Amino acid sequence: MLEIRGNVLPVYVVADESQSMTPVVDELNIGLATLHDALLREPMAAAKVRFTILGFSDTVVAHVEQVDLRRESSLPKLTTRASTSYGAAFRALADRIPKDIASLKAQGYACHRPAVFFLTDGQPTDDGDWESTYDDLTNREVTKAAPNIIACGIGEAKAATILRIATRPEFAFVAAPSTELGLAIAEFCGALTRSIVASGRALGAGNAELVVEKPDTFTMAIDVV
Amino acid sequence: MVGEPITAFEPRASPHHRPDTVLDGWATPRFTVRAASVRGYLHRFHGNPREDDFAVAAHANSGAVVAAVADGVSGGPLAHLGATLAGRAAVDFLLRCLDSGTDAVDWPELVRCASWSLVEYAARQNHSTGTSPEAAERLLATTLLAALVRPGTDGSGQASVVRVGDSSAWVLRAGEWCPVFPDKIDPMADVFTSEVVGLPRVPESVAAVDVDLAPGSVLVLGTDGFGDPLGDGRGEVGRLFADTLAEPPPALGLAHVLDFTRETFDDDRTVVAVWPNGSAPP
Repeated sequence: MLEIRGNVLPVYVVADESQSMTPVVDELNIGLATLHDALLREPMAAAKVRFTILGFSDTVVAHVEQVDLRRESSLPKLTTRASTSYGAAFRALADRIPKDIASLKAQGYACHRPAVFFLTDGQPTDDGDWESTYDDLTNREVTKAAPNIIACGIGEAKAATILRIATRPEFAFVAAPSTELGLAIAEFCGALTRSIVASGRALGAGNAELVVEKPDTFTMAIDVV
Repeated sequence: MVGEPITAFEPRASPHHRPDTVLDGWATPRFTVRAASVRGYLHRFHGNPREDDFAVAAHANSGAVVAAVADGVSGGPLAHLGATLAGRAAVDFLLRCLDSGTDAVDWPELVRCASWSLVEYAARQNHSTGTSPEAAERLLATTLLAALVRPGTDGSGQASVVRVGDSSAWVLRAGEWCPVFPDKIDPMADVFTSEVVGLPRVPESVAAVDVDLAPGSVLVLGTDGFGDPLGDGRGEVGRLFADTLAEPPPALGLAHVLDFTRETFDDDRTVVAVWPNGSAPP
């Protein structure tokens, strides 16, 4: 093994770009820009993160891929398109994660288990089709670098669906029905930032499982079901 | 500096009575010792205390050196004290064994004693009632690696090393790093986790590993903040420390080198090095 060049945490933000996201996509873009700024103020956490943003609708668009946020002047903007195909999102992750890990290892890095932050505002339009893709993605026998998935549901997303997607019950968040959507997005981005910063810190401190902080106005999905 | 450096910044003060760096260096007729513990860059950046520590002592009658390194598990609010308590408890235990003249060390008992020192300390905190291992684990969990190094008859040394958690030990000789314990993890696996076992949890089986220290070799005890960047010792960090430890350096020199900067390696780092002097007993 010689020596490793460093420890990195691959992070994937997987955001719903379906039509129904139109009223809140600006808040999401602002939230991601805030995340970027916050990480620039945490250079040691940022040094360990390789950041990918995937927008999903009927297809998946990679807005940034495996970037070191310290070297990005700004993040591209998410847009909205058509439907909500969870299958497309999970297929993209299943395809991409093993390649990303192989690439990082080839550069001499040791990788922590990837973290996926999955945000959706609605139920899948490909219901019944996405589950097997998801199961392969999260099965560590099939996908060795199977990610931890933190799932956040706003708007029409149902708690049971979000719980199904999160790889642990405590990784599932559903906005309380009364929460204003823009606020819920801001909460999501704030929680994302704190989690990434805290994960980066825990990595260096020798305790590497993902730390997830519960946003104030979110309710644990398990309480809602 | 090794490879890409960590961003430069002025360290922030820790709210605890805890020096950023501690070091020690001395020799006995049979051994030479250097030790250093430096606060990691991340703890410096956030103004958190160094959570690593070491304890090391010489036992005059036997000519032995006893040493421990410990790495408080982050998340425990008093993890830095856990590391100090466990290391000192282990060294005190070994000194008592040597005082008693016994040849056999009860290593599981050493681990239990070090664990209990955490439990007792936790019980004295004002928000705790009674002795509670659970409370101790929340407050001050720590790894522990302890070593007893006895002088041989030919100027060599014989070391017995025990550990709980991911601190580790090596015998360095002629530039080659030989690990005392098998690798904790394979960093080149697809993904790795550094979840760590620590006191006051006591593993089911605790056994010491015995290694010989020929003259010209050095026993190196280190926390994972040192072991992770070291890897198998065949890279830049391994060469740097092989050069540094080829002969006992000035104590300040070891601390200085241990504070090397390399991107993403921002944990506290602790090393205790013990050289047999090569001189036979009088």
